[in-house]
Amino acid sequence: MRDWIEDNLLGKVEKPLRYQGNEMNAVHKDWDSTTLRMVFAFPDVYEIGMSHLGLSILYHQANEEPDCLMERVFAPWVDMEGMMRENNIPLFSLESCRPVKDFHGMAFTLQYEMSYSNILNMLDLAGIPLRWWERSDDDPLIFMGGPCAYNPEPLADFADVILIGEGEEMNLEFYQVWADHLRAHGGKMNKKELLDEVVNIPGVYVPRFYDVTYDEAGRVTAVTPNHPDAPRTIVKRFLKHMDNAFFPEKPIVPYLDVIHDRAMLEVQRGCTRGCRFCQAGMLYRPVREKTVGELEEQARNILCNTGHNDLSLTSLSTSDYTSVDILLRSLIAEMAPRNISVSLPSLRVDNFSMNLANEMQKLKKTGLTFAPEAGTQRLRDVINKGVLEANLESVARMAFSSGWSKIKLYFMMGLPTETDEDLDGIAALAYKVIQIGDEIRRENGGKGPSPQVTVSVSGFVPKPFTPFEFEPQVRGEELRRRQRYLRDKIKHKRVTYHYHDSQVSYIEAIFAKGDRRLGQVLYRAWEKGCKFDGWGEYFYMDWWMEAFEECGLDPEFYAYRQIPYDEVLPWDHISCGVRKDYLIREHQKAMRAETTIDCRTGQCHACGACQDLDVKLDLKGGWLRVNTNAVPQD
Amino acid sequence: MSHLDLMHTWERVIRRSQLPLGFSQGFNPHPKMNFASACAVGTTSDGEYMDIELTRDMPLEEVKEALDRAMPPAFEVTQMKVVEGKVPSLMSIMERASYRLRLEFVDDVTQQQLDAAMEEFFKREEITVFRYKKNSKDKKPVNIRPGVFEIRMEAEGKYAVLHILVQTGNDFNVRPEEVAYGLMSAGMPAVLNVVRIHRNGLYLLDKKGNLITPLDVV
Repeated sequence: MRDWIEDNLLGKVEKPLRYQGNEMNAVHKDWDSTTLRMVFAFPDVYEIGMSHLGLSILYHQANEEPDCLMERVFAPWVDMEGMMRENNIPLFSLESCRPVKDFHGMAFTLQYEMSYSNILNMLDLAGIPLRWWERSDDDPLIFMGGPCAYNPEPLADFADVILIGEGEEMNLEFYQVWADHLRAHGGKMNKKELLDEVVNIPGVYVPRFYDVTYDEAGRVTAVTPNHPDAPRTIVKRFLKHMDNAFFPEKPIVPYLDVIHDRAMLEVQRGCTRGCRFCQAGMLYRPVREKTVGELEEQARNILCNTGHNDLSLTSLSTSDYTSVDILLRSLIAEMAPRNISVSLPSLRVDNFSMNLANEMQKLKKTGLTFAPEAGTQRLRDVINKGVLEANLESVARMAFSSGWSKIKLYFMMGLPTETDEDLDGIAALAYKVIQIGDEIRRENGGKGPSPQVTVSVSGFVPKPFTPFEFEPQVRGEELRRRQRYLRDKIKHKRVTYHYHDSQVSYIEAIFAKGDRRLGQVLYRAWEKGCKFDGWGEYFYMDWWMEAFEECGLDPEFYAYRQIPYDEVLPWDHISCGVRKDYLIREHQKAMRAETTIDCRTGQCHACGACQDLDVKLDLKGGWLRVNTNAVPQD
Repeated sequence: MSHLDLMHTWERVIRRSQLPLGFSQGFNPHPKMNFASACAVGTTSDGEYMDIELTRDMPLEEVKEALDRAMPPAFEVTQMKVVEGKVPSLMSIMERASYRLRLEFVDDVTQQQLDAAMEEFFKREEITVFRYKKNSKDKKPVNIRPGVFEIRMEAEGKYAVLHILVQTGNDFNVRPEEVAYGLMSAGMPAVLNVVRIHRNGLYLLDKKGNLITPLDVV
């Protein structure tokens, strides 16, 4: 099959390397000598999927198990899909170029809601019936995990199994039960029996083992197990410590220029800054750091095995890693002579981070990006983003003085309680930064490029398991008015204003907080041709709206409703450790514009993670310094 | 694979091999590697050449071993030689490229049809093909005839294998698929699909006009 595809299809598609595999460090295991054969399916194109650390961890971990094999498949781009359908080529894996249907299992990662239509499309391209009840024992078992799996309800019709939480330990337990099952059944699956077995693994959620009831208004009234072994609440799995956690030291090196074309090293998991819009900050609690020694060792090995010239220290907020300065200095000292740069993916708006940035980029002065998220102090307090205007000013001053000329500022629009005054604040901040840049340039005698600011604004999407899960999304027409309002406020030729599409974020909001009934909508939308919804050019709002209408469901019910605290949420039977009463407390504080300090300072707010789960904050460098936000006196 | 992807791949191979790769000076140090010629996306090749500069002398066998250990599947170093002192860049000395293409026709073709097209092709002084201008939808006409030196074709039902020797280098470059288009303008039946393009090798000319490789020069 590979030869035929290479001869007849790959010559005609954009970026044929997306479909070719055979990269350095890709794992090619012997098909016949493994018991359990799975394919990791990333519901987006190769370049995005291959930039995803989770894929790398789970792929290499599965392949280290002697009786497991895991290959990869990505969503073929529209050109390739057309040719595959025309020539009856089923979705095939990259490693062995086998039809996906030949595997025992297909693992989808749920990274963003707007990739759901691609999941359906990939199943269809593979020739696998979409809904679980249409599939036979000969079809692969469809399992899913990742951040969006915490509210997996819109995918309940399509998944056999959902894995809740961090995969490193849970997946191995799941594979073991599955492999034993295959051995006991001569290599075949009896899915009913298999599900009866895996439902006993903590973190495993089998959607069909639960019945959902609704009231006449369409609100969920109860989610009740209908299987004797199905737990009432599925609690996320997590690693107690990140020390000695599996981490791939021989990751695949793509031939193609992928989005993050660099070595990635996870320094810690979790973030407790407590930004109230941020789902990841709630899902991955508490913070667990790796030791400097282990990270140095892993960095060395990864660079040696990949040949990358850039090492990125990743996590939700790497500048919070308690030993970040020690780690950075030691890595830079070791890597700089070999012309390897070390970078942090995101920076906080404070001087400490700014010093780190200077440290990292002694040579290259490309753009710097900061995320104040909101334009006024009041709104930043509402969302608990601990950034003061003075922070931003002093950071901008440092950035321009150290040679940067382009600063990008990220904001969200449509945050709870937002008014036009907050939008004025966005424009004012951008102007302030330009003004600081101009002053510094004048002091330097007008040398170098003129300062430039890019204001990038995305629409706020309320997410489950955040204090804002109760909040409605701002209506589309009002959001568009606010976009225009801000656009008219920003009239400076060196301030660029970018806005992300509000229609996509409407569908995203619906699916983020959706219930099981959305499965029909998703199916209808896919039938109409929805796919690659995250890629503006393939997003068709009309198709989505038609799908809602045909299914008799009101999209506004999901996105635009203020939800009372005592309502049953579609995801209430799933727990990420953070308690609902903590989210309610945080929501109330938000409405009073009161902030909550990071618990890494030593002040516990009893969110539930360390109280209800057998895990504690694991900080290698002691409590986080609280004064990092202070403005220098000079 | 695009030329840029290929360059990145080689940089990583050399970094993995732990060889003491030389870097350019300046704010953005570049690895000192030079390629003879860029290969278009989708083209396979048996004959590519590159120079790499190391910061210290090393026995060739040691360099080869280190590279072999670090090479991804489907890449192979076949031969190496030491180049001393300053030499002109590989790109600037290349003159000829030979390719093998597989053509799929709309209908079955006969050897006579192909032979007639080849004869007509060489009879003419001008064979015009159209190239897209950079970053534009406009096309400009290009006469490829002076840059085509040899054509051989073998008919196989709906397919034909096409062997060509064309000019390459900084001054003028003929792309392999352009020869197929040129042949169509010289009366060859319509091609449905260029199935596979393979580069056999890149050459220089010696004083007598014979094809030699860069390794013959060193």
